[in-house]
Amino acid sequence: MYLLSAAFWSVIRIFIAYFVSLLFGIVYGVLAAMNPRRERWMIPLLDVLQSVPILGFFPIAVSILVFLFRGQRIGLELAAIFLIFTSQVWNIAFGVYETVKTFPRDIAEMALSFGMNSNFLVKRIYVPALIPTIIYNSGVSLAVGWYFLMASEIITLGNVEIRLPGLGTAMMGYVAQGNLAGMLITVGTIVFINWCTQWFLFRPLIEWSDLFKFGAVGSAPEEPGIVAFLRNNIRWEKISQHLDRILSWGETLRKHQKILSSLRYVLYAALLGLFAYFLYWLLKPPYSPRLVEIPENLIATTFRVIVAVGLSILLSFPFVIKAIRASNTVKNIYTLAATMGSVPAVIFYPLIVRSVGREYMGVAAVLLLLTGSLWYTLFNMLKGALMIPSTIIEMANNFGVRGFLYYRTILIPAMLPSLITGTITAWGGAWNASMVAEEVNFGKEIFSIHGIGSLLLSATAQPKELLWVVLAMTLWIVFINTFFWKRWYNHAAEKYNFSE
Amino acid sequence: MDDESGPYPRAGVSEVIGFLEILDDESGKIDVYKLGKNIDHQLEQLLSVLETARIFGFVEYEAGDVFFTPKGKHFIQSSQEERKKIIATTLPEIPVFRELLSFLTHNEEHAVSTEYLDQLITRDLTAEEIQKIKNAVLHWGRFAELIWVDSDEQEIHLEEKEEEET
Amino acid sequence: MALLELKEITKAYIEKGKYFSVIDEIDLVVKEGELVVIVGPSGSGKSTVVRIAAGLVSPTKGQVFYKGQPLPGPNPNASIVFQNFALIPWLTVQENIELVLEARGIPPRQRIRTALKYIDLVGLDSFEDAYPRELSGGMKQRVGFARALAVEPEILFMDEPFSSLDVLTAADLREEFLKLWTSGKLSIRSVVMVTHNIEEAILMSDRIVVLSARPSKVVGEIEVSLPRPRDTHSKEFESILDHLYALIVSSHISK
Ligand SMILES: Nc1ncnc2c1ncn2[C@@H]1O[C@H](COP(=O)(O)OP(=O)(O)OP(=O)(O)O)[C@@H](O)[C@H]1O
Ligand SMILES: [Mg+2]
Repeated sequence: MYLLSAAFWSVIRIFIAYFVSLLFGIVYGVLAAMNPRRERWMIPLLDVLQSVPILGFFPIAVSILVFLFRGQRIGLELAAIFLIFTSQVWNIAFGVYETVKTFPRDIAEMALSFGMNSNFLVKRIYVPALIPTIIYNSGVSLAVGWYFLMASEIITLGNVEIRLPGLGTAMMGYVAQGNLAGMLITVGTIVFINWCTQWFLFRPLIEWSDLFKFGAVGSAPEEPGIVAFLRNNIRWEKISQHLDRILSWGETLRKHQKILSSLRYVLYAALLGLFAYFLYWLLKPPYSPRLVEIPENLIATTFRVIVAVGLSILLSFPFVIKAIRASNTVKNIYTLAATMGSVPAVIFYPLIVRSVGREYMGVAAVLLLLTGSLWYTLFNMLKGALMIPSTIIEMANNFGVRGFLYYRTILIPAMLPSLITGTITAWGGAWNASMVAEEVNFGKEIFSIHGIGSLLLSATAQPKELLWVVLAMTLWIVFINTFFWKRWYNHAAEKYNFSE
Repeated sequence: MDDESGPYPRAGVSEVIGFLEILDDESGKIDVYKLGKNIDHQLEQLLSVLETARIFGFVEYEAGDVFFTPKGKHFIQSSQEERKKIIATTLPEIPVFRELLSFLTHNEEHAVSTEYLDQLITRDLTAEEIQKIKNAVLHWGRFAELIWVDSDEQEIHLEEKEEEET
Repeated sequence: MALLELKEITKAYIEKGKYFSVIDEIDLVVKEGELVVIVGPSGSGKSTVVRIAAGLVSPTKGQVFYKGQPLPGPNPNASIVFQNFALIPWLTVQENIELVLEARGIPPRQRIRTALKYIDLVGLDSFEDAYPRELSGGMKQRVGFARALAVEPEILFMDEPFSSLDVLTAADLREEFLKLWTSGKLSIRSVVMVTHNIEEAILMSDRIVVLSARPSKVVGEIEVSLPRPRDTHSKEFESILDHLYALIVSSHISK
């Protein structure tokens, strides 16, 4: 019964966060794609938000929301939902943005030439055209959401620890008690819920969404039961009318362009003022003596992240090679990875840390990072391997290009762009996992190792110190992303592609 | 570079030689519309090949007819080696190549980034068209063994003359 | 009488901060009952001319007149057949056609009737419930034609309507369209078509307008008054072919 209510709360949190992400992601993506002026700042911002470890911002969000709601539970719930939301939303926003950006020009011209007004266009063409991206990214987003759920239910505020009812809290309770049966049942519940949503919701929906892709060929996919159910039981007419009303607000707003643009300047001025004050506050002495520890801790975490990413790549290779040899196994590997990837490995972590003890916590931490990064390299490398034209592989067989020569001259170069994409996303995943890997609480007992994640947790009581740590980390990651990953990727993408 | 460095060759080596072979089969003179029929009315290809062959001085066009110049006739009847030599003496007469080659000779490393060509091509053209011209320029230059291209560095190098080595 | 008139139309885009002129002072008159074909090398702005003529794109300079009146926006009496069909993949053949009728505010009953009528007309009966993905290229373009005709326009624009099809299918569709056009069963009064296939231009047109390379100008016009159906091997056909090629090539070479 306890588990049931815990599962109920966790699921509610995830789905609320998901629906908010969906709405926000669609609006953000569409707005960014429709107007080049907005695009110029919205997309770099998205890029940064996507690549910094969201968990690092959690303590800040918690402090603000707890302050706003004076410590009531609703504030904490909102903080938890906010955390899950931030893990889900960027992926959807990016997918929407790319779809709108690559919207076929002739379809847009067709709509214009047959006199479709913008409401009609959005409702009848843009929204359906977004369905494949939304469904595909939703599957990923929900799985990612579980990972963060575990971290969001137990909130540390300075020396106080608050637990929200949910599966993550339940798990921690069982771990503290050493109740193995309880742990297994909790994990089983999570896997079961995940499996159900993936199997009954996303698998059929993904198949069906192929209908909405421009340029798809072959017979049309079947309509899944859930779609028929929604079609018959929801009053679309009503929703459509509401949508019309919302869209017409946009029109009304546009009529008041003048007021709007002067309002915008007021807003800019306010933001600038706020930012200036923030800087002043941040830079005003006294500085916490712990600021000097930032570089050292950053390097410790970076080191573990690099090890984890390297291991992820190595571990992915056997699967990729297997997939190329026997392409019928790809689907199995994929399904396995999807299921495993959605199991929030974080929940086993306290158990493992406790059993390996303090001395080996560093190793355990790398293992946890691995669970945050492996799926990314695996998915991306599989995708890359599958895109190698079969003629190239046949050519290699035909001329007896084998063994090391084969890997060095064909497989690795051919996969390089997707390998790098995988590495970049894995890198982000590992950083995120670092935020929970470096400190574990068992009631009074604290297990902790050096690193930016543990530094962050110990700084939660002091807002200014916390901000310094988060800022340093963000800048460091953005720096590496722009000056290292992006360049490497652009170079590889240009050199190693088969579309000549 | 205040004046235009055009006209630019757009067609590659095989296309131009293929076209000259057709012309040779027609004993050196053909109605342009028959030529069009021959290549399935691919207007774009027809125009670019004709233009390139004319820039090289291989053919002339007049009142609906395309015909060989003596140079073109000689070219098509030559061996591969001789064809390369003919192109090698022809290219320096074409503005884009002249600028490229003189830059390469006067430059100390005898090398330049391929982006240098973008500066040479001064007419208002789309990125796609510029790329096409760049490809053709590099193709002809390599065919004539005047330049070689380091694809990894995206650099054009002057081919060392054989007599310098001996 | 002139149905459509383009007067000194210039279109320029700004690319990398530079003004980039695509078409330069083009004049074009489309008379009632006429099938005009525009030919020109690729990138010469043929599609741009069509989009300006249909009111989808506004010119940088110059003006479009429809029936003597300046055209302020997309022309409601025009429709377009697209090179790549521009069909909506999640709608069936019939729904694709009904969609544009709905956009024109036609009531549901009449939408269905009109859609079915034009599906029949282009020979797609029994395919009304198929999705575009299940159709061959030729059939997709038939839907494109049915959709364009269903709104019963006065002028039809076609931007390389046959160039994504294989040679045989293209020939078939071309013939069928010409039959419909000459039968007088259609609401259409004039047609403007773009192509870079020179033979196709002579096969279909009453008049051919030749554009130069960019920034393009009209370099010449050729009246084609051969009786239909036209034979590509006839003497007259070849002489027009010769004339047209000469016009294009000499304009290109003198540039
Ligand atoms: N929206 C735009 N912005 C910038 N440049 C454009 C735009 N639309 C067209 N152009 C440019 O205008 C030129 C003419 O384009 P257009 O499509 O009209 O030519 P076309 O004759 O139809 O070519 P094709 O034979 O390839 O269909 C092209 O070089 C294209 O790059
Ligand atoms: Mg076009």
